[in-house]
Amino acid sequence: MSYESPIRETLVTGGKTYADVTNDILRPLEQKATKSWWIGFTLSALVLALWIGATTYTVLVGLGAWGINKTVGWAFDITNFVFWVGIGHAGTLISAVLLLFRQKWRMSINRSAEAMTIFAVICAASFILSHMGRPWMAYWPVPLPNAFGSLWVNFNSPLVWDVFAISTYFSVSLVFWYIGLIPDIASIRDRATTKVRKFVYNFFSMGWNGSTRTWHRYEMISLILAGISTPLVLSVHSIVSMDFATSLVPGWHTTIFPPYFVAGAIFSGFGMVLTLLVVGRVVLKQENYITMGHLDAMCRIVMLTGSMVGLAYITEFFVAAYSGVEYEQYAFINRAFGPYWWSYWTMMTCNLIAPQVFWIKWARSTPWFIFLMSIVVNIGMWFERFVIIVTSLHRDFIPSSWSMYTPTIVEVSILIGSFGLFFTLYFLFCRYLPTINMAEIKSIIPTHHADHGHGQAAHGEHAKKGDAVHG
Amino acid sequence: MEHTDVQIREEKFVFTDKAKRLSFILMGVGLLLALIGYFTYHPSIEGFTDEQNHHLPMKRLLGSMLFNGYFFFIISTCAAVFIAISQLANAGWYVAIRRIPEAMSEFMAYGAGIVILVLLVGLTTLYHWAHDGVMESDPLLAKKTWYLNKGFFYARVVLFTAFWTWCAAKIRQWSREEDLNSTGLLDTTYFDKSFRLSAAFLFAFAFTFSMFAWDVTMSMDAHWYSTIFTVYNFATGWVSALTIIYLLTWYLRSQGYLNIVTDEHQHDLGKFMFAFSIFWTYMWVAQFLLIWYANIPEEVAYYKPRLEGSYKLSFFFNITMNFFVPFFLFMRRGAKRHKGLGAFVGACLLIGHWNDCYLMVMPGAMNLATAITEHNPTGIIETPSQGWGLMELGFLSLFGGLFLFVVLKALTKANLYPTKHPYIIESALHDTGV
Repeated sequence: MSYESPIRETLVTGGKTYADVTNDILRPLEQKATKSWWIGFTLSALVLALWIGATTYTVLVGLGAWGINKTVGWAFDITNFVFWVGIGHAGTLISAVLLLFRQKWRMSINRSAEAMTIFAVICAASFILSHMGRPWMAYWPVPLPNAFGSLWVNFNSPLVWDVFAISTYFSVSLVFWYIGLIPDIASIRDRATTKVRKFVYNFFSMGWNGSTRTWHRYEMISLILAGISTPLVLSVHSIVSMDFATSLVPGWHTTIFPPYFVAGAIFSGFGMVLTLLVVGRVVLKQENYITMGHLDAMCRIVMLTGSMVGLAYITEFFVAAYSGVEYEQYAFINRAFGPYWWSYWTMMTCNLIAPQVFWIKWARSTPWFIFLMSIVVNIGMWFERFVIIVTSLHRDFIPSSWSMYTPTIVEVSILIGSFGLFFTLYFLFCRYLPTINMAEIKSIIPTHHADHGHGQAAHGEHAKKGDAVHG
Repeated sequence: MEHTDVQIREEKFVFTDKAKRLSFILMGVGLLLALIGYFTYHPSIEGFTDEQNHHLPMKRLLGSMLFNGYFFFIISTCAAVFIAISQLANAGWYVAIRRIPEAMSEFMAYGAGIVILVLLVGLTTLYHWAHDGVMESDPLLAKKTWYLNKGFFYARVVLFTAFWTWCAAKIRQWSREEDLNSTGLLDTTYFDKSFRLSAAFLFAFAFTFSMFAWDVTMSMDAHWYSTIFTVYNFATGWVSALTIIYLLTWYLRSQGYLNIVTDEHQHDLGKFMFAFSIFWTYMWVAQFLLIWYANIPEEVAYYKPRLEGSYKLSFFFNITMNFFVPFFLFMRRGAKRHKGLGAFVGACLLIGHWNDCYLMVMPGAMNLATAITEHNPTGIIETPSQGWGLMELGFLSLFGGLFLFVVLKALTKANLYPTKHPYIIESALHDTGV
């Protein structure tokens, strides 16, 4: 910990002590579930039921239940898959990349963002499984020995790379999230009043005792996992982009795809983090931890990544025009002015134009507006994938193969249902685990407000944040 | 807000005669080598007519001048981008070394001047699309006249470079004025001004640099296109700029300057070099892998001479110097804090990215135009690689010497670190705790 300039905003407001932090953050776990929690959880569970129903129907009937056809063989499901995988990027970005950059503001948001990442990747994987048609064959993309049959995966295919990339990403994110939880789980254990509670949290705290040695190992492993996660964050969406870009399809085959997909993923991930936290901080009474400064910083990131994505859209459009290749040119004219023009302009408006309002301070400091914008970003990024996938496919090279795609009610139900899956998991998370990393937050609260007895966090200079409050 | 354990001094850099002499020698020797190279270069390439061979010396002279000028120009521009990004990210650690990228950005005007001069003199000599009659007779290029025409081309290049140079000059000026006029570390007048201009600069830069890279380097192979090309160009300039900041920081510290800069700062700059070398490689892979994999004739035409043709050596040298060397040598913590190893990796990166600019410009610049026939639908005769000769290296020395002179001269114009920047104490006490 080092000196901080007085012109910086404090990250935790309200003059919190260490005890306050623990009490504030554990309140939702330790008291009886509130009415709002039950309402939210029940609604999510009902929507989840829709997902279960629609997915089961797909598996029973086969992919004929969907609107895909010979020309548009990838549509809603892959759109949803890429959408959810993209959302699953912010969590690890916040916890890993921002950790490497020593960005302390990440500490109040990383836990919930990581949880979001894990749930989003689960949602994404479900679309791959249901698209397989025969999910009981789901182990086929795994390079298992030939004893299982005559099938051997094609290592040249980016789809196989995807299997590796996403499963690795999911495991590492899960481990990273869990390791970060251990000190907090130990705190819950120590305060547990019932036997069952004590047993469960004790089991998951892995014998954490808060000694210097355990802290030392904790910090070491965090840094190592951050180092491993950083390339993983980049690799996942790069490889997802290669599912498209290694092909010969105009609109898919373009060299900007890997970084452009990564920027889009961070953009959509932060969009979803904002959706969750703008509401969550009020409902869970965490305004002193997730401050307006945090929202402001996230809005700036949304603006930055939105502009990057916008630059990529314009670059693609320009280069198609510049290339002189008719197929490329047609693909982009068709996107903007063809039968799916509305999806293209929804994407452009939501992703490139709308986030520019964050240049204005008012927009970055008005929670209801930020919430609205986060929904706009989510919609825009869903449409981006829809535009890329459907508009590039539906006009085949041979005009006799041209077709249109319309989703069936089953596909729409699976999409809506996937939000049920996501939110059910998220509500469970809010109920049983602390949504803010207490151990880390304690290291950044103004020290002379805190009780100095608490070994770990107290070794900062008193010069640091005290000045910001009084100076 | 006084901190007795931090000594913020008004350090002044002295541009010694020895250093001046070195930069003049580099410039003089460079110019001499380039001229000797030009007058002794009498190519007789198999299958080329005398007239075709006769075109090559001028192409090589101007091409060498262009890619060297471009190399140093994007380095100085990326130094300005470094300041803008650090400012916008509210970074504190970099303040103690901020005057170094500021000084580097002073070269922008010279770099832009060199690039524009070459383009004014050599557009038709270097760029296939600018040859008389090519645009009309080539059906593919005929579709590009709306973008690739001389008037629009010059307007873009001049306007963009002038705008960036102006932004950098303003940011630099405010930083220097802050030292003189700021009332203390809580005074954010200049900080705020600089913050706003940095935001505008960066936003405009992202869009305009795209076009700049399409113009100066991508249109060298006018039939070819790649959407990631701009970011790839930026990555080259960015890594080189970080490397020079890193090396200059070592140099100034070894001369007894920068009392508040520690190994922590040096280490962080080293981490940037390491991380952004991987970033560069990522862009390299994005472009190469996707083109190689799809194997579309229009696209692989770019990599054909580079991967399989006479530029093979440069191609593999490129990825070795810019990825493998920093990746393996700079991964260890100690390496980034080791002056000798740091200098070695830095030198490799600079040569590597210089070679990258060479690879982007020279193959296209050396090609000759011919009539479009059934057997030659592009109307291009590929000139085999002429390697690095006196001209390529001469201009490296000439512009390198000029760069050194301008940057060191710029360092004398203000304190070696901003004494009244709101984050200067943060920077002086910078410690990542690792």
